[in-house]
Amino acid sequence: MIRNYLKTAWRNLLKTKIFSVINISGLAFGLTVFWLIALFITDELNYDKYHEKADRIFRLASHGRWDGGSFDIAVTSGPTAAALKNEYPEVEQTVRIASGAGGVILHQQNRLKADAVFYADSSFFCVFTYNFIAGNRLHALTEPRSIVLTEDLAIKLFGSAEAALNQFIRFRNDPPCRITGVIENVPGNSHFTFEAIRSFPKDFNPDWGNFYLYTYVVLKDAGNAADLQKKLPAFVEKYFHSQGMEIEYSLELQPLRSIHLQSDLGYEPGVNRSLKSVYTFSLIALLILVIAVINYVNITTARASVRLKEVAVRKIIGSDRKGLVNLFLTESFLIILCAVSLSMALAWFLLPVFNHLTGKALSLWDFGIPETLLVLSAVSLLLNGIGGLYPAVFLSGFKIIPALRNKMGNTSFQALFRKSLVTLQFTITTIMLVATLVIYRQLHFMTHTDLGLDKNQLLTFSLDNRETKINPEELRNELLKKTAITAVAFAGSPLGNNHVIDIKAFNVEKNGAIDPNITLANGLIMDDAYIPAMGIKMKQGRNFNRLLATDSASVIINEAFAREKGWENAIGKRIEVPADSNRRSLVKTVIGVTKDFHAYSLQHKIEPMIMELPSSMSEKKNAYVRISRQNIPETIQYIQTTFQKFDPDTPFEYGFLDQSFRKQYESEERQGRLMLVFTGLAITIACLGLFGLITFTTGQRIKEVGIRKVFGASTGSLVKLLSLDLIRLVLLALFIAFPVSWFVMNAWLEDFAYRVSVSWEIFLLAACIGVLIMGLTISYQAIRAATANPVKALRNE
Amino acid sequence: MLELKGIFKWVNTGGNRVFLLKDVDLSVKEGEFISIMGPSGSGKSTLLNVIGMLDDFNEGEYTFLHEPVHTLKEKHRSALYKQYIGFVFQAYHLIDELTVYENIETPLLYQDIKSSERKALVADMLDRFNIVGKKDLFPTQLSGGQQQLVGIARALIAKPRLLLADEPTGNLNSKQGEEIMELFSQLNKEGMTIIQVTHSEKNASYGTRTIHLLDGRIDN
Repeated sequence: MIRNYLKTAWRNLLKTKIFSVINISGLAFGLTVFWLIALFITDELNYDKYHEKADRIFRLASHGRWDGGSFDIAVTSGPTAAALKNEYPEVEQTVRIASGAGGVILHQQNRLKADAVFYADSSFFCVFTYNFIAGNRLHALTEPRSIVLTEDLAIKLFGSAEAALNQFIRFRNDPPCRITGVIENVPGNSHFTFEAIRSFPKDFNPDWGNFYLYTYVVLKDAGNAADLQKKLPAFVEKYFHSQGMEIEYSLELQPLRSIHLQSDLGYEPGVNRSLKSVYTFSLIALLILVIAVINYVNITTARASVRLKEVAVRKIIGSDRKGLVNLFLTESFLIILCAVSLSMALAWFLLPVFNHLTGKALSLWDFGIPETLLVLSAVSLLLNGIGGLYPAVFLSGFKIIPALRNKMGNTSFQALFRKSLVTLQFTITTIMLVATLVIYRQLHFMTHTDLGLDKNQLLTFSLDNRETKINPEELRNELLKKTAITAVAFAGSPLGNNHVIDIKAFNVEKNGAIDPNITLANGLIMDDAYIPAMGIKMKQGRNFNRLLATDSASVIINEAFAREKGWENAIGKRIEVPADSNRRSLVKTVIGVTKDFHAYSLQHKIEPMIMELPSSMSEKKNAYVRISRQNIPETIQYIQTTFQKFDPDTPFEYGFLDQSFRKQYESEERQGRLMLVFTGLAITIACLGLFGLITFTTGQRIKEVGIRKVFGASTGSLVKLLSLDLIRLVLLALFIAFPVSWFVMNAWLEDFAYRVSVSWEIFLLAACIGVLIMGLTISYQAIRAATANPVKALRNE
Repeated sequence: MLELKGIFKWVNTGGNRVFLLKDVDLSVKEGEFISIMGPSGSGKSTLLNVIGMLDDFNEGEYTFLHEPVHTLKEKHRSALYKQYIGFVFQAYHLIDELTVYENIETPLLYQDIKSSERKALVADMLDRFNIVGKKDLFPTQLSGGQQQLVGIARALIAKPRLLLADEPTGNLNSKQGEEIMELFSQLNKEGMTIIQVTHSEKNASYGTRTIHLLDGRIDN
């Protein structure tokens, strides 16, 4: 019997090629997207899973609140780890990790910059699981001046992992350290990655008040976490507040596996993603699959009339309803089988593209080959259940005699059902379309909006060498000798890469006297060339002048600061700047107000800022060089040669300010590109279905069209007749989609401090695109039918 | 073999009751060859469909092989006609996606008959109707007469006791029609009970009895 079914199914598939192609390709696209997104999401969900103790590892996060400020950071103070282990027996192990161990590695003639290097306690490789290619896991970091390299770095320096073992390398300004191990490269699905791990220096002795160490604890039993969390306030009370810390401070245990998707703290060691994006992508995968299944259901039920006679005949010659259901299920299974095979090929082709779009290195068989095949079979069966069962039940239910006479009986329910499904399809695609437009509009806004400074043609690099930092004037003069270089400025914090500019506590004049309550503001150190070089505009007062001795007691504030303080005229106001390692606190006078400029990317608000001249030369850590548009490579070459004259040991690494800003939008750009691809696919699949549907309905009405034409109907009126029904559905879909997408996209935009609005132009554009694409799909067939020779249509009868 | 008593069938259209069959009494004995005649719309096909249990009736009693059809559930009824009745149609109603062989074989598949037995039965049937050479062709590749032969072969393959034919020669030319009617009278001689609907006096003359229908009523 099943052979007979398969034979009929196969022959039917071949007989109606257009519909088979539409069904199979639509489903295949849907399945491919589903598969790729499943890979993506699984990868996201499996971050840090590879550690043997993954489920028992927790990170300690710090939360602080005080009058006028707060912090939520991924780091704690140094003694916390040891105290925790002492205090609580359920803590099996701890490890502390500190950033900033990187720099320029000197090895023989090699000069290699390695920034992703951390200091860590010797327990590091017992807490985390990394495979050693050379060296011993247990003793790798026990000695000071030890370093463990990753394979890549070892190969770069020594040619092979084995050759690197027990060799010495030196970070500039540090004594040499011995390579005690080489591990395999850190997997991509880690919440932080590194090139090397060093043991802490011998005299490393941090205090309770400095929060800069990542602290991880391994619990004996993961179930103890909630208990331990409850004990932490007492711990904080005992160790912190007894030290005279006056802020409201708390510690939080973060499960290691949750960090990548659920943690968004200050000083995160890597780039995390949000659970929201995982949900969004799951939803998109599901929706695209839904669109594909709807195509299948719609085309199959619409074409039911073609199968009417067969249903009746089969009933007459002995089939029961179950037999017919099985027949149609076999057919849909065959189609789904073809679609699954095709989607395997498609996924194989598209994976590199998808990897490029997501910035991941996924492999098709990440789940394991048998598992993948099993899941695919399960999905196919499920699809068959959903997409095949309804048409099968619908088709097998016809009464014999009307069916024999090709009468479907009352099909208004089916027609309504089909129309609802079509509307649903187009609602989904329209929402995706609006989402894509909003994302791109926001991206365009972020990359093109006036930042209040000129980010183009601005080259930046950092000064690592102590001598250069102390006296950058010679470097500046040397650079300015070239006419293509129009300005050179130095500042303390790098701009545009979202590294936190120092937040300092100032005491600001209020009603003629210095207010004892502190005001938190960004404190930016800059020289007097900075404001003109960056193209920042002054609103009031003047720029610094290094020739005026009094300017060391001057500050410039930004508009946001003046606004916060309600100062109409800020010039002459006094601000007490806090003490630092170089000087005592000092009351300075405001000499100028800049117009607001964006120091951070546009996800962030412009915050109040106080600008000062450097109190010591070592604060000039970053150089900003404005260059002309002509012959940029030559100019860069010149800058490099000049730089190397002053600092021959540091490889010259530079960036452009516009690129650093742009980098902050990478995740949005990625989201935008993915959304664009998925929307394109969704529209393609939906249009395939629409094309199938209109092809079929026009085919059904070919005789009617012929008769109308013979009696003088115009082509225009016929096209209208044939397409009006579907066009109406498309319009209805727009109507439903707009409020939904307005709501969704406003929620998305909330992540941006500076954002576009979801305005009517976007909806208009989406409507135009939607109506155009769908209209073309519909009218192609309608016009073809309407312009065909009516005699042909009638003769066919 | 079967007996209809006071059969009524009607449809309601816009408040009016339109009778398709009106008080039909008919009794058919084993081995008869009955022709039902009458003008278009007189209810011939409806009557045939009622006899074949493909269609319901509103009133009356129908006994088929001692089974009271009017009291049977749908499921029983279809089991009954599947076992005892074969159908032949004017438009042949073959399944276009199946070959001649497969068309004839399908009823056996639905009755779960073993493969070897099926082969033998279909081979016999092909042989008998002289269409062995056509067994791998599809219906659309055959002439009307040949298609109707396949239709009859399919109707007979499950060894029914009653053959119902709704204008079996309606789409055929006169020569093909004659051949089909010869075949019917041959079958009848072998003991098959046949009821056919026809427009043609000549075809009716092959039968043993003719029933005239007019406006849903037997008109004698």
